Amino acid sequence: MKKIFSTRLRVILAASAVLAALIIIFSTVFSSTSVFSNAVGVILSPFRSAASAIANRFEDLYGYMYEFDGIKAENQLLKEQIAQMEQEVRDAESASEENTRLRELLNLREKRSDLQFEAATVVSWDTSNWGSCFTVSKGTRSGVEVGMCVITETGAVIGTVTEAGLNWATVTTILDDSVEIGAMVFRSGDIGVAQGKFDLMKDGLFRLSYLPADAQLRNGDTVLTTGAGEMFPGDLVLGYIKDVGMEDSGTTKYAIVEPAVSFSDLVQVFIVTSYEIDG
Amino acid sequence: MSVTGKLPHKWLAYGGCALLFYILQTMVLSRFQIAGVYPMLLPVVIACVALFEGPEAGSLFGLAAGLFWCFSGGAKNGMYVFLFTVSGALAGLAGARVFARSFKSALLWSVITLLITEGMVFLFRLAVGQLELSALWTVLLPETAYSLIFSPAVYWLVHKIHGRG
Repeated sequence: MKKIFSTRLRVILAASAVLAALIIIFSTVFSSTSVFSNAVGVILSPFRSAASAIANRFEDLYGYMYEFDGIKAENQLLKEQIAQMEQEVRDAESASEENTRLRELLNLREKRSDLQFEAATVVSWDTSNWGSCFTVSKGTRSGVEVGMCVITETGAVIGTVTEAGLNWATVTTILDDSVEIGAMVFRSGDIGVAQGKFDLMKDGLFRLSYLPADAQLRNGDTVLTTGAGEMFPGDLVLGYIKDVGMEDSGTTKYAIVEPAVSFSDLVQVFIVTSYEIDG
Repeated sequence: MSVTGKLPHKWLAYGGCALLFYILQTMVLSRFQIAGVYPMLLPVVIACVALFEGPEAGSLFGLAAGLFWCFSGGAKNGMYVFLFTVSGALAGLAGARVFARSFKSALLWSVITLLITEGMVFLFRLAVGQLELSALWTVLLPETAYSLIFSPAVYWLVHKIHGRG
């Protein structure tokens, strides 16, 4: 009976298994980006930039044509909100102190002068349905390194740099199940770990785990980074609590958190290249 | 070289085809979810190429596609390198021994290839507790269906390249 798998085919399959194992081992042992990934990323960079520019133009046109009424209504709502906020500013105590909430919206650099960051453009989103990450236009040539925190202009945490090539970097978002960040509920001071979970990722949510069983949490509570372990700067907004529950063990609580970031609207991000560590 | 002459660099053309659909998937379709998922087009390309070119060439093409997918950031580990190679081998064997090189065969093997690659990732993540069984009908099956929308275009292009190679 003629062999189904020829010798040559078996060699190819065996070689692919070995290569796959080597890549898995390399990616597990080393956190740095391989020279092959770097090279592929550099080659793809102009394609990503071109495709992103073209897609943005089409999106703008689509938005203008089909979303005009919605944008107009949102604009009106925002104008009313701004007017209300301006009234709250005028009513605030201590005229000599700048309104910190408006600062968060308007000027990240003044609020967090301890942060140094590199602005980057989102050029492509990872289309794997099992994770949440995207590629940005800056890399090691701009001082970007693996492990750096990525935020928005308002100081909301997007995720972390997981790969860095010469002129590109991969950012894995806080929704991805590989990301864990030390977190704190601002109102109560309870400490936990912000973790991405696959089943929550599809809903655009993540989980705050290992909270004390007696933690007093409320929907809408702000969740911040703790800065513990010096992996992330502290006091950056992760999101807002949406739901609270008790773990099956009964010894800790968890919270479902809605990110402060709207991932679908991301065009420009800020990679924190250095920051001052308290203490 | 005449317009109807053979393509001297058939495999470069296949590579260009894979790159084209990779760019389409990652840089255009990444903005358009259907049923909350994105398509996965490389397995469709691998299935079509392997169907026309046989098991050995198909597996090598799958290996190259897997390495490219891995190093371009499409996968976080090397699992796809092996899965794409196996898929290419199986689709190539099917095309060489059993199935005609028709669009129906390409469609069938695109489904099988997608289920082999993404299905193995699903099973692995299910086994380690990273997701629940519901991901089968919320992610895997919709992703397969969305990807198949592009199979006519993939098949047509691969058929053309093969015919002129």
